[in-house]
Amino acid sequence: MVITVGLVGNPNVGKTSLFNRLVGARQYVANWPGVTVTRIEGATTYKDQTLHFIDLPGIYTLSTTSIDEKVARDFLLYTPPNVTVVIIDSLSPEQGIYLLLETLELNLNVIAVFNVIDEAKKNGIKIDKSSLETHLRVPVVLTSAHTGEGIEQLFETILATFKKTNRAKLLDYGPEIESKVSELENCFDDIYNKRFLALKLIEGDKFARELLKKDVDVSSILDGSASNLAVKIAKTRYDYALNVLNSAMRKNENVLTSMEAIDHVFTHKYIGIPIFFALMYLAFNFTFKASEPLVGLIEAGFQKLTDVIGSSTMLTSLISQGIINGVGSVISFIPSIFALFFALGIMEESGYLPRIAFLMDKAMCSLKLTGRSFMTLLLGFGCNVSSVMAARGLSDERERVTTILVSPFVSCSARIPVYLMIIGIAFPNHKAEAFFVMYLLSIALTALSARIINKVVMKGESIPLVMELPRYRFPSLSNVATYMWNRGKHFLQKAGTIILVASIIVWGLSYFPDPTNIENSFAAMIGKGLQFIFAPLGFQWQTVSALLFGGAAKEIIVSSFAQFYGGIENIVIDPVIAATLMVFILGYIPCFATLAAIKSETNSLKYPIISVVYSLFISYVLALCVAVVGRMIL
Amino acid sequence: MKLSEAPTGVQVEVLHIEESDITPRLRGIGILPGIKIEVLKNAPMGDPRMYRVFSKVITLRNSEANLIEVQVSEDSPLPLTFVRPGDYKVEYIEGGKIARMNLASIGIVEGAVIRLLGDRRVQTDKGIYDVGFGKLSKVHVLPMKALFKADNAK
Ligand SMILES: Nc1nc2c(ncn2[C@@H]2O[C@H](COP(=O)(O)OP(=O)(O)O)[C@@H](O)[C@H]2O)c(=O)[nH]1
Ligand SMILES: [Mg+2]
Repeated sequence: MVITVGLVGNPNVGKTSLFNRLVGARQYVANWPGVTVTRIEGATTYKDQTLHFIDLPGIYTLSTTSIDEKVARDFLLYTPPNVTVVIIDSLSPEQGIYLLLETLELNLNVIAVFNVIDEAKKNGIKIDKSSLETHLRVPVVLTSAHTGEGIEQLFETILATFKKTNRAKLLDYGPEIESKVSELENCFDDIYNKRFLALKLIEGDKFARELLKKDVDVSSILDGSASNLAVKIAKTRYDYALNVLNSAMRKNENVLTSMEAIDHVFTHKYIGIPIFFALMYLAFNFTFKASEPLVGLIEAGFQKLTDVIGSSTMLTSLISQGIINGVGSVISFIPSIFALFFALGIMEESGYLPRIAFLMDKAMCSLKLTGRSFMTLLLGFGCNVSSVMAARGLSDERERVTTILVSPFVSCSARIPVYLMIIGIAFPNHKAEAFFVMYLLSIALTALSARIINKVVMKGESIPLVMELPRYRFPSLSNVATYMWNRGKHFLQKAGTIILVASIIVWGLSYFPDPTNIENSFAAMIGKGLQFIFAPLGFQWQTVSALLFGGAAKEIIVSSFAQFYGGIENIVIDPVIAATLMVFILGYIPCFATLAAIKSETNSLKYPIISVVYSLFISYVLALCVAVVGRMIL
Repeated sequence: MKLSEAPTGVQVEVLHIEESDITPRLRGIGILPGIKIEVLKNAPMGDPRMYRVFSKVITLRNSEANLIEVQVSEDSPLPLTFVRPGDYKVEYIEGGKIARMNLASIGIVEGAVIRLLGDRRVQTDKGIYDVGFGKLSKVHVLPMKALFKADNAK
């Protein structure tokens, strides 16, 4: 017997954190709304019962205007779980109870969880659990996903609620609305929850309209008063919620005052944005300072290993060059990647990032994007595939496609080793600065592309932004570690799969037909054959071949370079060509995985093709500018 | 008054919301006639803005806040730029340390009683001053008369 348990709640109340606690998973938790865009599932056993948990996107209402709301609502309506856990933030419970009251209308087995009880206690908030249970007529559990308080009890309550058959009584909306509801209930088929749909119809939900029986006309029932009634329904719920809280919760006024001072600076009209850039710069500096010793150590280790094995026979060459040198050159940058994500994780966990979205929204708006898509794009710094997928959470189709198409310009972690390699060779004394400039360029190129795509491909107007700013939190080490691991592990997986395979292919192409001289290899032939295209940029054949192979995944550029030159330490690139190369690599082509994601998310071949053509074009033009200007200066 | 026009630091009461695609979500967040909203802060260029609805901090663009008709709550302090000449008590001062220190040097501190003169100058314990618009808008006051009434009621 499997018990399915759905987790519902407002954004940022700790649904994913609780999910991770409950099933022992390591899902991505972030202190900003809109992280979970599709449902995430996981199972565990408790007292011989299999519990199947489903983490749903954060929502305020089951009326649907965005895809997150639709994912959650469809799940509850069409595949109702055995138990629905509505998670409520103990520090801002009003909106949570509203959602709970809506969920109760679906006639499900509901448990109300008041989460973040640790912070509530610290702030002197008193919650009377039994009073809540009496008023809400559902079991209530107080939990903390941080300390683990109440988790055991939540499991017990799930088992108890699952067996229960009598369900909570619903809210009464008064004679006027109730009579309309019963009239409207007849307009829906029996397979649906009719009361829920009738209420949603009055509330103006377009989707409920689509589920009406054929040939019924509701316009006589829903005359001009519908919008007044909708307000009345919402007010009834809120009045109820406030009454419940009045009797069951004692709040302490003036919480959060210490945080207001910090927020004053971080979201300041003038210095807010400079502070953001300064913090990013610090994060990059940290990345290098923290990881440099380890990177050096790993590099030296692989170097020793290749020397010991040598490359006198085909087999030893395959092992030392193709595998150890090829894959090792990529792996040695892993400490830097983890260090960077550690720094970014702190920024996200503390609740700082949504404030950036707030500051940047006006600028994003002029690009016809929202602060919300800014945050989606930020995911792209980990991996472009994630931002392409997360764009699902954007309610506007035009904004969604634009976000998908510009995602590849966000400098993902796969590009980090490439930059690190080139920067290490050409700008050894200005590592953090050069890195910072690449990220700024990446942001500028993303913005520019959004502008162009909006002008050329799609036309439309701006989209509403309704976003919640979470409280500041002291980042917990385990959450930052999870964040770092989630973003970095992808990289390790790739090292063992696509990069390994590609390294071996690159080895083959550089070993044959003449193992003694790489200048005669297939790789060289290919590179030299295409070199004319890149002549204006000043690239050698090694660069051309590496770029070609790196089209599959950017890390392969590093691995190819390492093999063509017999180790990264043998490479020499002058600063102008290095800068040109980095600018070209920033955007030149989305990797295979990203292209596949673009295709599946847009469900058309048109967009991946546009993406390839456009990115090749723009990168070439930009790189050419850098080459020309660079040569004039130096 | 539209919500987008309400000055920061003020508490407003929602009167009416124009129907649009996002009205259901606004209702879910608690933006409903009769509910009080605190206007917290502007982003650069005054858009979007932060509001407090119950205990959640929500950002709205002005294009959406325009759909929401509000009035200043009776008991809400108002910025000095928003009130008629008269006697007022300073309830709180927005902004950072530097702004507070500057205002304190001319006798404008939280709890002080000041008089706004007809020519928009401010009379404090320390004298009469010409205070710039930017600074005036950071000083939130309650009229002495209203305070007097409230005391009597108790
Ligand atoms: N102090 C505290 N923080 C929590 C708790 N649950 C979640 N958080 C934090 O709240 C933020 C949002 O959590 P998340 O699980 O992503 O929320 P979701 O958006 O509802 O999935 C993260 O920064 C968590 O670390 C809790 O019980 N106590
Ligand atoms: Mg989540």
